[in-house]
Amino acid sequence: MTAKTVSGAASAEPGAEAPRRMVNFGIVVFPGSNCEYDAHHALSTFPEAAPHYLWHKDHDLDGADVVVLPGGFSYGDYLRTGAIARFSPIMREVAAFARAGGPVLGICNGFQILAEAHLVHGALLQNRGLKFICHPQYLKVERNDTPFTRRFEVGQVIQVPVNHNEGNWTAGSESLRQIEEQGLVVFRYCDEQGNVTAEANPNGAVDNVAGIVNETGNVLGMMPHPERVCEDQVGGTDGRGVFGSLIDHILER
Amino acid sequence: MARVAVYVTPKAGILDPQGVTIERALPALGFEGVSQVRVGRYITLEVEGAEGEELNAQIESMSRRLLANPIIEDFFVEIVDDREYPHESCGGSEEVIVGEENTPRKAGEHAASPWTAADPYASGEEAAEGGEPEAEGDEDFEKGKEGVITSEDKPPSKAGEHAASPWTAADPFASGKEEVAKEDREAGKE
Repeated sequence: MTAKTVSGAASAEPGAEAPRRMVNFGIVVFPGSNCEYDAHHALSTFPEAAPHYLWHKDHDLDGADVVVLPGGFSYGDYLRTGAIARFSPIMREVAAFARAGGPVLGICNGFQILAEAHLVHGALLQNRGLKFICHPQYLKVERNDTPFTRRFEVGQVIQVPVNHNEGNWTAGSESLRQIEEQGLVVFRYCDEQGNVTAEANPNGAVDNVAGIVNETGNVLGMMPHPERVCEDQVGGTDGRGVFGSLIDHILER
Repeated sequence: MARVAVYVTPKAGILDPQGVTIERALPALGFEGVSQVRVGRYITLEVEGAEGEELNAQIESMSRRLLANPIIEDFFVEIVDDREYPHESCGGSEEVIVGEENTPRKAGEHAASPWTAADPYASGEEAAEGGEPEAEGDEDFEKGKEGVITSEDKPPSKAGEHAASPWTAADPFASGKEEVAKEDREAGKE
């Protein structure tokens, strides 16, 4: 897909804006994905974003500047969450894109797929309480030097909903050491004041991890749903920071 | 054709919320002294073509890459031929209580392969409640489903050293599987 440009008639008028560089977001749709429309809608509220869908059987990313793996229940969560989707044809392209430094955002089931594909550390277990959880959740921003968090401050508390049954992130001791050393955690579950406590941890994730990046910082997996808080009328706009950061990242590149 | 069973269990140190919940529920039923409850997955499959080392390698690879996630799970592979069935080779002599009748049965008597049954997913409840088995071979299977698999005389796995049975290890959940996860991660990064 080519980037959208303003119409010829408009650009011919004196004083009209120059054609705007659009940021192509490729939203991967797996059988069982169910948050792709939310992601598409949220992105469509940004004038600089051009979202489009990518079918999981596609073999190219259709010119995407950013790849989004949306939430849902890919392949019915059979075997383990994300375990089957990880082997979809497009994941080969997504992995190559990620290796080349392209930004990849995995939300909820997308995070589970990234973990199964070893594009981020760890794995997602069933929630500690064995219950599906669905509620607004405070998150502490740990880093703002990633393509996903430029519009946030370090230590900022944002509110983003969680909506999952397998969000209990864990990793082997070697991975945990590496994550700690390299500071790969981007979001942690916290309370309203930003205290990262066991009480504020909704699912039992190790060290309250809600979102982590890979070593090169260009792949983010997060359980909460930023695409659901991009408009005031749906209860919040804290999610805009994630997509806005990605847009800034691409446009300034 | 080879018949294969893959047992997938949560790794040592990995929280198993289902196991914890079951462990907490058992005392409520009067079962005291139960600990280390871990819930895993038992996968059966049939493989055509490959034999011997090639078969072992295939099963190990599919287990590492798909059937189990070595970051959080251990797996144990059992390869049997048409004449050996995993439950029989596992044996078992513990007394078990079946259903609500509280009828003690010997687990070993009923141990049968899931592959001998007409429908391997048939519920064992009917048999426990005195229902008539519908197909030939079902009776053994359905009772067998209630059997307790013990590890005392389990033969070593044919799939390789990595595949320690969760039941034979002295400490079933500590058998140096960290390296497996690490290797897999490295492989996945390529």
